[in-house]
Amino acid sequence: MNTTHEFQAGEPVHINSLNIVCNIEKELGSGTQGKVYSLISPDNTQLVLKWYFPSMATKEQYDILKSLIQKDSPSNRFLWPLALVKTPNKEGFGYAMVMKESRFKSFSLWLSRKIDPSFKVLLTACFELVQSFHLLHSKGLCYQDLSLNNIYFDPENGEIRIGDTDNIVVNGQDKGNVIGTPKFMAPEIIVGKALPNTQTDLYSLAIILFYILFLNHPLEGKIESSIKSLDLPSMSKLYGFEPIFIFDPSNDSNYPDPAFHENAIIFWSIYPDFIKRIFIRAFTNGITDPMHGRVRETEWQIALLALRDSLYYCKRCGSENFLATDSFVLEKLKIPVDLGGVNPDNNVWKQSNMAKGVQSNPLCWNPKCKTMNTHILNIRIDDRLFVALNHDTKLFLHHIDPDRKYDFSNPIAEVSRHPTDPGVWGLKNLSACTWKVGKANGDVIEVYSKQSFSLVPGTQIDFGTSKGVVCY
Amino acid sequence: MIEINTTQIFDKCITSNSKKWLVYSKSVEGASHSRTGFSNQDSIRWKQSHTSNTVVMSVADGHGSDIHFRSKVGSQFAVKIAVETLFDLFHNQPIEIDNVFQVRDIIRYSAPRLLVHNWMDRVQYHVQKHPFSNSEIDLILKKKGPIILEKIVNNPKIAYGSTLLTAVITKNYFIFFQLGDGNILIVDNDQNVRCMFSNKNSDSDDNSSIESIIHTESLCMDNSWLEFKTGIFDFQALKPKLILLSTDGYCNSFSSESGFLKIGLDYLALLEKFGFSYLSKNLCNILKQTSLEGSGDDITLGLIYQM
Repeated sequence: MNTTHEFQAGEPVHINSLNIVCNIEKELGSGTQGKVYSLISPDNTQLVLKWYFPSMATKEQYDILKSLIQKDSPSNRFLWPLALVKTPNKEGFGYAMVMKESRFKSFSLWLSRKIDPSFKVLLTACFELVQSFHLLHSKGLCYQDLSLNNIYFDPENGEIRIGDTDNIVVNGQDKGNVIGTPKFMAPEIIVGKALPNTQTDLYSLAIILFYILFLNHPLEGKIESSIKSLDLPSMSKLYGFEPIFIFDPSNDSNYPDPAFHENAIIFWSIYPDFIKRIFIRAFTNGITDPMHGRVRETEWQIALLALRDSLYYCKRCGSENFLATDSFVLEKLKIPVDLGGVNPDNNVWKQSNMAKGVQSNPLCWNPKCKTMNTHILNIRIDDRLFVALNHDTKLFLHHIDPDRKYDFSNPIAEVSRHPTDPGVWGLKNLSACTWKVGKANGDVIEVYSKQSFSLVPGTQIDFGTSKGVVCY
Repeated sequence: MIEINTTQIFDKCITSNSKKWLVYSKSVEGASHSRTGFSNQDSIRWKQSHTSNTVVMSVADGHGSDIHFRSKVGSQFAVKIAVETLFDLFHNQPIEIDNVFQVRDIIRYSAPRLLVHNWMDRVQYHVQKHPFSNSEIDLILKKKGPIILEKIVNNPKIAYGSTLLTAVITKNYFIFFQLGDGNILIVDNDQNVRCMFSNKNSDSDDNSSIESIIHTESLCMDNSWLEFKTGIFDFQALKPKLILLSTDGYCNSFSSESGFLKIGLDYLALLEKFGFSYLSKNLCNILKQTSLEGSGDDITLGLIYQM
């Protein structure tokens, strides 16, 4: 017996605003808000229909959807509502959106270690997440209900998709059916002092980033493992009224319990200090001062990219390690903009000497390896950033053009192996520009598009928009 | 409020006077176990409130192999803890439309960890009170060797390894938890049968990457809370007429999952055509016969039927 708010396979669905008629293919799933169906569309676009249960099909939800559909999606990372759907013989309403491709997986698979993405992939996913929320917030919108359950990533490359976008509202509107979920909810919401807004989104974002990078909730330490019964007051205390970061340097009362939070302890020892300092700020000042203490999207973007650029592979076991781009060390590495100078060799010598201090922890973190990794080739670009040079490293406009930050659309350079001497590595010019390359011996050559030069410490490269030097 | 512990075969029927849920269960020793004298490692327990319409039913399957030599105790602890913990939560704080979002992540993330945590505490207490005996140690040494013995001595919870399946019914929501083998079947008003966490539908990337001496997902694995599958459903999403919880001895008695799924309709037909009294008289024989002709394993079945 059909009820009035459900669809059967084959039923037609008129999507008036798109001027198409689709047919229900099958039910994909159901949950607390409604049911989701895959649609057969006339042009084979993969669409899905989310249809709300009557109790959830509120006027407020309808208005939110209507407003979202009128706006453009901040980016293709959002599974954005395309069209409102109402049919005469069905109770309530729903909306159509593009189907998430099967290559995108839930982060829960990573949390349970069913998949084993690389650090590079995870950091790419984190960066994309932050970038997406930056775009969303810059449009004056707020997500409200950010949690690990509504974000997905491609374990091959870190590309993300953000689902459940039907709760996104204009910041400050105080609308919507949801107020977030406790584990990802900002403390001020839990204690009843605020409703979801872009500031609370920032807090949820920090929780997600920590979860992805440390496989643990930032507030779940000894205090959480001492809770013996499930009740909302104890949860409210843990996440809202008395939140204590598990690595709070001034309060160790909630330090991770090795029996239950082993991942947090392991990963905390792997990452370099500069990223840990940001997380400490996010969960100390970020809790006590919601307005000014939270880590901004741009800060996360810079830090996450610096962390990704610092990845190198252990020479013995191949594990990914981080070349410690500690900010204290970075400060010492102030690289002169004018790399040519009167005596380029001297300049290079000085820089190379300083470069030897870069690695604060050269031991491979892999407990079965623990190899000492030294002389990791890297390229420093102006005084802005440096990138570890691995066999698979690519440089993008983001790296060499200060006006094209975060442009990863096309690689402009890649590390390549010498065609006849596999022991010699080079950097191949993938851009259309010609680079001027100053060798360590003082010779200057031009490297045209598709040409490579040898990666020898001391080599300087004028990319046109910035200058780099190869170091180790 | 009624609480039943059915670690052995039992015959009881409880009906809720307000929401009309009929709850019933049966556990039979596997045909092959009967022959070898090996006891039933399954446990089942449930608790029902007449006032709040809350029902919590839990089924556990102790692994029963040599290294899990206390798995009967482990499965008993598992169902007791699951029923107590989840009943306390959902009886005292019913999920309603206006708070489902607040408890959603507690259900998904906190509840599994707490269940595992409390189970481990109970196991640890039991080991302290009842240290491994010389005969238990000698048996493992003889059958598995010193390396495995050392692993178990260093990590005693392995001896208690068990799966855990739990269904929670509240006024408007249904919540399901599953760790390890076993099945939760839902038969809806339209006679559709759904396997809540079908193994065959799992993602292609859902391959186990954990190297372990334990070959199924189990409470005794490190970080086992991460392996829990959870589901939260609005009443309208499921419209269940019958909910079945079974240990894998049942499913393994069929050559295909589709064959197994038919039991959902069979039991519904039995209840609707012949009534509860017929089912209660015959269920034990049905399960014993299934084990005999099928897996030979213990079979435990819990039924929650909307009258």
